[in-house]
Amino acid sequence: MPVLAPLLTVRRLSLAFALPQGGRASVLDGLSLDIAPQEALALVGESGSGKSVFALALLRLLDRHAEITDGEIRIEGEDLLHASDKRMQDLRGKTLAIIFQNPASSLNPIRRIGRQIADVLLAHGERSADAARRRAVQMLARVGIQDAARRANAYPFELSGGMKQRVMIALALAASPRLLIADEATTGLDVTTQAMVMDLIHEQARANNMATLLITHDLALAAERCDRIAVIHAGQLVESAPAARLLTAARHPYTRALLTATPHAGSTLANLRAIPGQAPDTAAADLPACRYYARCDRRTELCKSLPPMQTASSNGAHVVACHHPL
Amino acid sequence: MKYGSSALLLALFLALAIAGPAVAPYNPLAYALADRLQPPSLHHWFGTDALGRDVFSRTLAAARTDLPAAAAAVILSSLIGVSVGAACGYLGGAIDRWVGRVVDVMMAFPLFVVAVALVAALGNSLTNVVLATAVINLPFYIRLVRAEIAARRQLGYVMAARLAGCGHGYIIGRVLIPNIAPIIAVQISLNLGWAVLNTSGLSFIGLGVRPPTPEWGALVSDGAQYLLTGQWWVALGPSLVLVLAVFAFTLIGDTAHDLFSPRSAR
Amino acid sequence: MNASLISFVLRRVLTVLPVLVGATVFTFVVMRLLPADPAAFLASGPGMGAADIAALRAKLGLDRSLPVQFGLYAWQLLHGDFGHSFVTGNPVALDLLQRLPASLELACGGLLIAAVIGMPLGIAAALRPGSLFDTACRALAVLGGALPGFVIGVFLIYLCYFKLSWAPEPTGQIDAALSAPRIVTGFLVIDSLLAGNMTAFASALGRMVLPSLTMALFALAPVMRMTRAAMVTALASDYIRSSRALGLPNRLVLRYALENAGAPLITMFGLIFSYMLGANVVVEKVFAWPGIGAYALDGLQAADYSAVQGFILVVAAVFAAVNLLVDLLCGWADPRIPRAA
Repeated sequence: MPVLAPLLTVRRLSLAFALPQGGRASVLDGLSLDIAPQEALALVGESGSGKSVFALALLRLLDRHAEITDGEIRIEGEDLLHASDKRMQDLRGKTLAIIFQNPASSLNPIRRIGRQIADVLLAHGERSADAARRRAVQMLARVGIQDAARRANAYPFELSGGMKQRVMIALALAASPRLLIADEATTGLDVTTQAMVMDLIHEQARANNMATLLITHDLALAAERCDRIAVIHAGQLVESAPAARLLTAARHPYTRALLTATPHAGSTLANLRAIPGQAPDTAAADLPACRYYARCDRRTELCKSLPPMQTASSNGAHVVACHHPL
Repeated sequence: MKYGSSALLLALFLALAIAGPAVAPYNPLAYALADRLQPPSLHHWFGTDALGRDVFSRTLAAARTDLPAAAAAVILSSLIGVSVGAACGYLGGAIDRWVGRVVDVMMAFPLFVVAVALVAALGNSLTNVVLATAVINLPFYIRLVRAEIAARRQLGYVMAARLAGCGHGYIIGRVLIPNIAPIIAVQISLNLGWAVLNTSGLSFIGLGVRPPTPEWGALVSDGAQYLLTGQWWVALGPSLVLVLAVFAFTLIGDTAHDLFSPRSAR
Repeated sequence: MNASLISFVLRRVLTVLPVLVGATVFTFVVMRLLPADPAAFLASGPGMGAADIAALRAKLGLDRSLPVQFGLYAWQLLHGDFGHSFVTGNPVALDLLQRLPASLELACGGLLIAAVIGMPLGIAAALRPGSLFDTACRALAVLGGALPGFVIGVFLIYLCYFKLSWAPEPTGQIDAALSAPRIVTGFLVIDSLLAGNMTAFASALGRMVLPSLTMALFALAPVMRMTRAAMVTALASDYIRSSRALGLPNRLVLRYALENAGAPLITMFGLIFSYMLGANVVVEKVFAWPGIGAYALDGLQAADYSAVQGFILVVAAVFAAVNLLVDLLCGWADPRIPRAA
């Protein structure tokens, strides 16, 4: 098996928020992650685990209160954290693109959808406005919008929720990015629309040789749709493994707890178990080295003081960060 | 710094209104034709006007006209506005819709023109200036209180009060209004500045007080005649004090806003 | 132009009617019911004897029921009968019509200056919320809000006319020695330009500077504050984040935000314009400007109540027209508005 150079490399990424009442919250702590070209990776975590902040960090779209304190992000070998603003503008949309959770508010409400797609094309190298408009209609057709030529003249408020998400996907795909990030892209849509949107992302990624990063709280969805799953807890990456392996041979206590809290076919309410406790306050001064410490049933004094040890399987595909893995 | 300076200014203007005449160096109404149109000096800090009256003393005395007038207007409109707004917000329904519509139109209408019309009809007196000022400030209270009460009437503590057998009057007066008191307080302090502006504006165009009663707007209007002959001081002193007074009330409103709504304080 | 758009326009036109009816009721109550004897009140000019008052009573139908009185009143207004001014001896409607353009010219000039200065400042402050510049703008707005228009006007005259001689005499719209150009738009500055009369144009423009600057300073603080608020809201929205995420250039992102702030900004200008109609009264007095506000003040001082009543109705009509224009422009700026409801 040829080892491909990773498309995206994240090393020891740490990020903090300055809090309004003073002090700082450590939102991401030493996070490392690779995505290979054409790979579908899921980043799974509870709400507040820092997974969306991670996506925004990749695009350098964090707000003023966030500061990246350590680490590096490289895409196709290029250092993102030291790229100029102008260069970042080129990379966004063209190299890495994102689909946000709420399509209803993420589209410009008073611009025709065809023009919004044309705007993206014109921003990324298309010269002729006419050609951009024609390609926008093609993009709409590609994401499965019927009667695309007419729909291109519609405003977002004239479309249904599922249609809006299709338009968001068309916008994200417009400049043929190498990596497509879907940040809870189906949360808030109804179940059939969810499946439709996921199918569309999947199919487009394959057709365009794109890698995808699926950010979700839904472990079942991640397992179903992705090659590999990375689990994040309170800003720390706890485990990453091929999807099938993670489901059957999870080694981190948190991953195992997540699995028993995830309903699947054949599970009864009796064997569904909530994860005890809650994620620690990342603004606390006395955070344990392993942030799962307080909730963990395998904790020892070691976990409090010494950062969790990374163990990799022999082929390097299964990595767990724990002193006492299963 | 802001809290300190706004408190200081408030204290200054209160002292001015209470002790003004006592500390005024001259009788604000006394003519001294020999001293007419004197520029500012150690004797006459703000100079003298065409009749030789001390502008500083007149400006001080005017605080006793403007500040109580503004306060009376604000008290009147807040009392009526809060009652009407609370009733509308709590009861809802057709009355609420109609009052809401009238308030919307009123708020957008040139309110100064309404005030002019009211004073014209009711008669040119300070009492009617106060009434007119109160009327044009009413819609702001009604809208504010209506919205705040409507947002709260279904909340748990209101439901609890109702289940405990409290009457509607009790719930509005003792449960809801105390809960929105800080919001009303902010509105009142902002409103004081507007009321001073409105009172002095009406006086400037000749409505309200009659000469020789000192009033800031009338003093500026008086002084404006002498600007074109170079006697700037007759208008300058009262103008500065008037601006400072309005500024003080605005600052106090702003401070109150920061104190009572911590979310927007940053 | 499709059916829904036509119905939107028609519905908007209909919403103006209650405002006009409301203003009529207001003047009816204020001018005819509140005074002890409306006939004496309306005929309280010099040279009005008991016979005149009796005649006026009959003419006004004061012996009839209130609804009939109101009907008669509204009927007269509908026929353009606003009564006679005994100060000028003309029908009030004619006087007001002649003076209205001067007032509108002043308000428009002031609004234009306020927009040109205030909007960029508001936008710049919104781009860097919490910055030193933003704080300075906010302080300026608070200070500006505390400055009464008449104080500004009076000291602008002192400084620019008396001290520095930059501005012409603050006595009206145009030098009394010059003949006014033929009336086309009613705006002297535009009419003199249309007539090619450069001397008149220079004089009219020169005389507009100080009063419209005064009006502008009135409006500057609210323009700045509301522009900032509209832009902060637009810039914080999800679609701005997603347009950045798609790599759109900063200029286009700013344009997205501006377009979305459009409808709120148009509404703001409507509000401020109506606020300026009130401010006009004071500024016209300060600059001896021959507008409807000065006319109403003269009427007030001479107890010429037909003039005051006419003034209020004209302001209400202008206000209604401005609101209609605002509604239609908002529908144009935001495609969601015409199709909602």
